[in-house]
Amino acid sequence: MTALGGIRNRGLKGRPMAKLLVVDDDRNQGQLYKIDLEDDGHEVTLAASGPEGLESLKKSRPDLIVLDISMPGMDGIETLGKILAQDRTLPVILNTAYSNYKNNFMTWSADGYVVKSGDTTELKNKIREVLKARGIVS
Amino acid sequence: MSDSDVKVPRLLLIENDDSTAEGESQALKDGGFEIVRARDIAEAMRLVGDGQPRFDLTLANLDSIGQTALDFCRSIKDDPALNWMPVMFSTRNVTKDTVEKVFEAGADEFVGWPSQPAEILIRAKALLRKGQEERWLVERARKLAEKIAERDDELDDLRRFAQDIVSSLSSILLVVDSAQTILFANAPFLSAAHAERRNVVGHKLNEHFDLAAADGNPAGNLMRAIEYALASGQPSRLRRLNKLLRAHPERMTDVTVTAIDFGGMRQVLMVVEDVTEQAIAEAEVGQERAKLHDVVNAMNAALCLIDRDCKIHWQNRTFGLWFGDAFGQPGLQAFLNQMRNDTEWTEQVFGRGTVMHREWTVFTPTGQRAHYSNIIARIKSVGVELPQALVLTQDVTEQETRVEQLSLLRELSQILQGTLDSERLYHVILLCVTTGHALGFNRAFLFIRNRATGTLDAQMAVGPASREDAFKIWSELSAQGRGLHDLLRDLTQLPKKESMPLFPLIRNLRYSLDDSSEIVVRTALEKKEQVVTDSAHDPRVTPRFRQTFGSAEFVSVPLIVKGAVVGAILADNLYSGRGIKDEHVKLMTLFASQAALAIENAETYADLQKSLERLRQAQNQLVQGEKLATVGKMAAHVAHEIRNPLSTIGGFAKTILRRPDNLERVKKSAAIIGEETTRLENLLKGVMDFSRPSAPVLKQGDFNAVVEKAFRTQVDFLAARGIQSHLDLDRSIPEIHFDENQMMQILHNLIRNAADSMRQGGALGLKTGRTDDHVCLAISDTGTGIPSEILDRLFDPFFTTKPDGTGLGLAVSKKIIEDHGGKIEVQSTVGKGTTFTISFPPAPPAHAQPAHASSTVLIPLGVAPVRAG
Repeated sequence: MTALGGIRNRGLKGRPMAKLLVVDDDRNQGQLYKIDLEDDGHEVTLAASGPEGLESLKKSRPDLIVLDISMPGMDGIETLGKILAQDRTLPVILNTAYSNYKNNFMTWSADGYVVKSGDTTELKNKIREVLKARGIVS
Repeated sequence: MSDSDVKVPRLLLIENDDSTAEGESQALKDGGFEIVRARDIAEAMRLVGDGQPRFDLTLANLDSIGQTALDFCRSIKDDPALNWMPVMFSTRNVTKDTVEKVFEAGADEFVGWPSQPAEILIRAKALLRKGQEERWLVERARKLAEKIAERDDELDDLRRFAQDIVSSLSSILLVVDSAQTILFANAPFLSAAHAERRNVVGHKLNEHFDLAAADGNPAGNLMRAIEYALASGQPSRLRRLNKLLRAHPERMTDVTVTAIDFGGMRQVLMVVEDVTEQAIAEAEVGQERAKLHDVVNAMNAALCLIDRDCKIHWQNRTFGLWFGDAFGQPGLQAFLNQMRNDTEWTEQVFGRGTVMHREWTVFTPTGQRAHYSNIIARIKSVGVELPQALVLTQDVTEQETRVEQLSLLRELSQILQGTLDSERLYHVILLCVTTGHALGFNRAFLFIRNRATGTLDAQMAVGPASREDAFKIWSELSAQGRGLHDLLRDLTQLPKKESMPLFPLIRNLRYSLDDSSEIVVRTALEKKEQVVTDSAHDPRVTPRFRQTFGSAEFVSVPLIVKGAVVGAILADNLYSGRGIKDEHVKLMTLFASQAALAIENAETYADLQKSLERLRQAQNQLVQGEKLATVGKMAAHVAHEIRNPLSTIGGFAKTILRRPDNLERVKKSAAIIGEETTRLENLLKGVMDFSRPSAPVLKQGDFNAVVEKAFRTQVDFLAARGIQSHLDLDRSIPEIHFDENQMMQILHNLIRNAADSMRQGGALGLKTGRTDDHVCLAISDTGTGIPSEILDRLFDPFFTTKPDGTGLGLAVSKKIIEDHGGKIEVQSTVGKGTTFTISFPPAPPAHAQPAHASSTVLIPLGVAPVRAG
């Protein structure tokens, strides 16, 4: 980590680390992620449902998608499928309260699977990991 | 006393000369004669006339009358009616010539003229007397002749009569003399002998008859009969003589020989009758009768003739065999007792002539049972005063036994198939083998194959343990007339096998299926019945076996089902010593197949029971599992529901801590924390409501009142949402029992739901009413409606279509309604609206407890959210 990265990590405004799209039907959860991830220096767009997320995708391409699974209507898995259908290279991290979806092979096409908690550290680390792996951040 | 004695004699004087006549008649007159004078012959003829005896005497003067007087005399003498009358001539010329002429003419006297008057008188009187005598004689002769003529007529009649009889006889009639010469033969004989009378009459008897023809009796031939008749005058009869008639030796005859007196001599009258046809008929009848007799006696049925009092008048041989000798008196007694006891038949048979059919069972002293079928019919007895009936008795024991065997088999199979408890089944099987007349073995033992140990295990033994017991049981059975059916019917409880008399014999008895020296094993291995008649010398019987069972004669049959052996039955007649017949073995084998099936059934049933039990357990586990799964699901839901708010609260709390100086952020975060907390509280409340056994506090009241109250509470809220609402209360609804708070809760829930479906406004209606004795409430909206796939899940706990819904509202409402004994239903059309209908019964449920305990799951709160999976 360079000082620059650290500065970046401290969330200097105007220089986001990555553009993130967070899809979660729980408004307050979404807010939480937004605040925390913005603290990390990311630019966060919120979508409250699968279709909303897909719409947002069309408008601007994020670097990474954080996707909740248990959403009414189009759930995370279906959304994941549609996202990848649109853009196979998009990194997606599944962020859900349930751990059992790990057994669902559909989730294997995601880059990460994080079980929700109040402590967003795991999520943030995973995001950094995936971004680094993809070469979006160093 | 002749007339002429009394009468004055009359004299006819034929004189034409008066003086002479005077002279002649004077003396006569003096002598008492009456004189009638005829002058000439013509007059005389006239006077004599018709032959009537008018005159006693005639005196004629030859001289004066002349020749004609002689003629006249002749004519009188020729007339048989008059020739008795004496004629006297008088003449002056008494010459040899005239005397000759006078006497030649038949005169009786002459007198010369003149003569002394006394001389004429004497001569006249003498003549008179002579004439009278002659007349009397003639008269008498005439009378005799008449009589004779009469007799002749009679004789003629008799003769004709006899001839008629004789000729009308079809039998041959002969009269034969002591020299056996035929004196008379009637027409039938002539035609039979093909002879003419002249060849018969006067001919010897033996020309036409074989006198030696005999009737079998040594003294009975024709010759002897004839001799006997002649000697004794007594008749005799020869019967059925062969070849008597030489002309027809083929005919058979009966001969009656009698003696008759004919013409002062003893003669023989023979009557010969042709009895050929008769004899043939008799012979035929005799044959038939003999045949019938043979049949009647050879018949394998007893026949007897009895009267109303059951006295036997006649019986055939078989009857004697069955009821006389073979049975001895008891047999006959038993038979007669049956006849007498069964009194119904006498009236039917004798009175009404009905043919009766009766069946009886008789027990012999040896315990054998004989079954008889009787047909009783009245017969017309001729010449006997008492009416009689014919009883035909057939021994149907065998058929009866067979029928019983078959029906027993049928009943047995029913009993067997109906018995599924193994021990009871074994017992029944062996009972069938030992009881009853069908199989009737003394003892029976049942071996069942034990697949685990590869052995035949003795499972059951039925029978008496000793001879004494055996007799006791038989006499009981016999006396009661009970058979297997009765026994099984009465057996509600069979004794335990350990308590059975023969149990000690079979305790722990088992044969390894490898040990083929044992006959029971062999039976199973070869799948074939074994009959042993002499166990002491039979190589198939081991000493051990002999010791165990001790019977000289026994049979062992395998129990086979679908080609596999399930066991074997061993049976013997140890006590009765009755031989084991082929038919018993056959019956046993038939029965064994039934028994094997039944055993198989019972085992299958037992297996089925086990499987069923296992299934039930599995089902229980499944249900439990499902319950747990539900719990798990619910727990997962709850955990999820809790997790999100918690992580949000935690997250924002951390956020605050990271930048506590950022007031904006702090305020925002705090607000969100508050929101999520509230959310958690709501969830908690909902869950608690659902899981806590909240028994409603029911009070009788007016449901309309609470509906109105709820309505009033919501009316502003609804108005703010742009929802028109109206209330339609049916005032005639009866009072019901309800918990007001809970009612308010569900009404709140339903109204809010309805409002949520009408974000753009709409109409909401609350309507109360009654159907039968139930009170109903309909809440209808004009909202978006509910798709059918969601309708099914509408009342599921934690099911929600709302982003911030708990999914418990309707679940709790349903629970509350069900606790009140009511029900809730929903109807919806997408795009049009939804109607929820609640109905309550008039009386509260018996126990105001949670309706479905299983749907109430106490979720352990306070435990960390479980990671479902």
